[in-house]
Amino acid sequence: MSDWTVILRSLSVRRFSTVTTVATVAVAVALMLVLVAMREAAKKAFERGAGDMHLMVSAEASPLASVLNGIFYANAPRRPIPWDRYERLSAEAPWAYAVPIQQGDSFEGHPVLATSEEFFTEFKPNPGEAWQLAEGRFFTDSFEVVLGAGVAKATGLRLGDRIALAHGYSADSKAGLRLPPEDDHDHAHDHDHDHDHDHAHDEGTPHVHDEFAYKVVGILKPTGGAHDRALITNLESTWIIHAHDRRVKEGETDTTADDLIDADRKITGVYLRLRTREGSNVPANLPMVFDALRKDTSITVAAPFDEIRKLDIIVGNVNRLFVVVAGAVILSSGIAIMLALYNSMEQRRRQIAVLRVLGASKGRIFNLVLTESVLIGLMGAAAGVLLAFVGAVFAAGIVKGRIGLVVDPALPARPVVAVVLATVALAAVAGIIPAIVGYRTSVARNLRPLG
Amino acid sequence: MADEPALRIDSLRFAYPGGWTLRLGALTLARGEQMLLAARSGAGKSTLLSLIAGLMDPHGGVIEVAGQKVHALHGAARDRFRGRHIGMIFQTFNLLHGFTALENVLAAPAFSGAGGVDASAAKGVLASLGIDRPGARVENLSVGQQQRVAVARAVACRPALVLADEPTASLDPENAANAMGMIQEACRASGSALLCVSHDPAMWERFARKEHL
Repeated sequence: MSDWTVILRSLSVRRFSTVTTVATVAVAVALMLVLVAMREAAKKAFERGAGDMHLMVSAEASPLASVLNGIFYANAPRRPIPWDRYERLSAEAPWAYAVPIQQGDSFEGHPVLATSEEFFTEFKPNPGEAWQLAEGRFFTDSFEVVLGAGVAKATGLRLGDRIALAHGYSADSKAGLRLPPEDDHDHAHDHDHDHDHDHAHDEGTPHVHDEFAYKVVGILKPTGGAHDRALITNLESTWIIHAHDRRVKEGETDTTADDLIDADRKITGVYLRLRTREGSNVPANLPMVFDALRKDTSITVAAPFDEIRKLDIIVGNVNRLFVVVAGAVILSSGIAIMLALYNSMEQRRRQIAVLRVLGASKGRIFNLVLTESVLIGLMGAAAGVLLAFVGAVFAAGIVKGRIGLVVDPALPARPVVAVVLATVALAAVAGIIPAIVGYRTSVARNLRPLG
Repeated sequence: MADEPALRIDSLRFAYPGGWTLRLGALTLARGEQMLLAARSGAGKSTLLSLIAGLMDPHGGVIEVAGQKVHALHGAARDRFRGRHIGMIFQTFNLLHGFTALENVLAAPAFSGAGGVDASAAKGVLASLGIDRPGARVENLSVGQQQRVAVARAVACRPALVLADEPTASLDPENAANAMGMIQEACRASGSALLCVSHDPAMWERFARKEHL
């Protein structure tokens, strides 16, 4: 019979206390790991989201709002940029690309990004990685839509499906329409003036552009960025459906690309990348171009990576607070271990006395109790790692659902090892007082009626 | 060491904090000898056993077990010596709950470091005392079986001396006689001397050597 037998039997005899103490430690460890993992994963996801762009231009009030809205779809941008300003911007610097984007519509809570074909051919969602299709093709015509991987998964839409978009978006909105198959209509993507549509809609309910059917032509492979939860279509489609609202008020019933006027051609942002030397990602003229663009007060220019870093600093303070709270929870779980063992010592005085009679030294008793404490910490830490993995998957789902950030729920190895080691060390410290009680247990007094 | 008596006490003195003092002039117990020490309650017999086992320190005198001055040893050395050379049987058995009968017996050699007592030997000792379920947890055994496990644990390491403290106090006369018979036989089989303290007059006739404290 080994010391391990004594320790395991001791834990087994106090099964309820052991399980609840291990559970307390596990929850504390899981909380800490999920917070650390989410912090790391969110940081990476934010960094991924900007793709390979160097700058982003919008008309938003601040560079941070520009990045959050224009790249991460936090809110629908409210201020437009006229198309002629975009055309001038395209010629202002030696751009590798200047991809215009227009946001503001949605489908069942998923944002729509209207853009040019260069979005797929030039902009890379992850540096060095071009867009890849899981199915179908990129759009080549108006009223064709390509689904981000997350949209396809969440909505179940397939190639050939027809949908109508809603104006405006929010995470809570489920507005949008799934239209009957193409065969039931006269036109593939034309207006259907025969079916009943009513522009008057309930207060607070997004207006559905149900006069215009979009056809799903492609589904993208996941990129890990925010675009995974977007539907991507071309600018002309978006301009037409918004121009149609204007024309309906003017008494018109039909709108095509020929009916567009300059005021209809608006965008909400531009993704910009400067030409770089081969092997270099940061062009030397970036600061100069950045400063030049900033002189135009009608636009807001943002360096996405700088904004993400600023956001990390802002959020980092809150994160640190969370980590401190999680640390306090782990500390309290250490106190729980100490209390559980300390309370058990009262019941175990006789057992300890018997072990001493059988030849166990005081030091050995001390080690037995301390090892028991460490074992509780180790079991709690192991259970906590498992719990954290489940929790990280759950939290990743929440983060994706609430703010659209696609985070990898994998637990980073270094924090896991650090938290497990810290928990075991804490358990060892927590076991010291009970171990001293065991060490000092009077044998003669606790062998009554012997004593 | 084998020629030394199992127990030798000389001029033992232990003073309680209240002023009462336990004194014992001389007492020797030969190897394999069995002796009953009769005493009324509060006479200090439990204190005497604790002193012999090295669980308490006397204020004067000498206690030798198997030729070793018990109180000349300190710390872990004294604990190991006790585990190897002194077996103890208690009125309430003091078995390790949550452990099997076999684990209770193996605990003695495991903690004292006494060699020659493996699982097979321990099972043999249990079988000789009528325990045929060595893998059963002791709390699932009958009171009688628990007492047999306690006796098996006391003699497993073939100690020079077995100390029995009121081992039959909670039993009816018939079972008390049987239990004492079992203890005496087990000690004879292991070659251990037996010092039994009891206030039960019925035990008086079972010992060839008996004294009052």
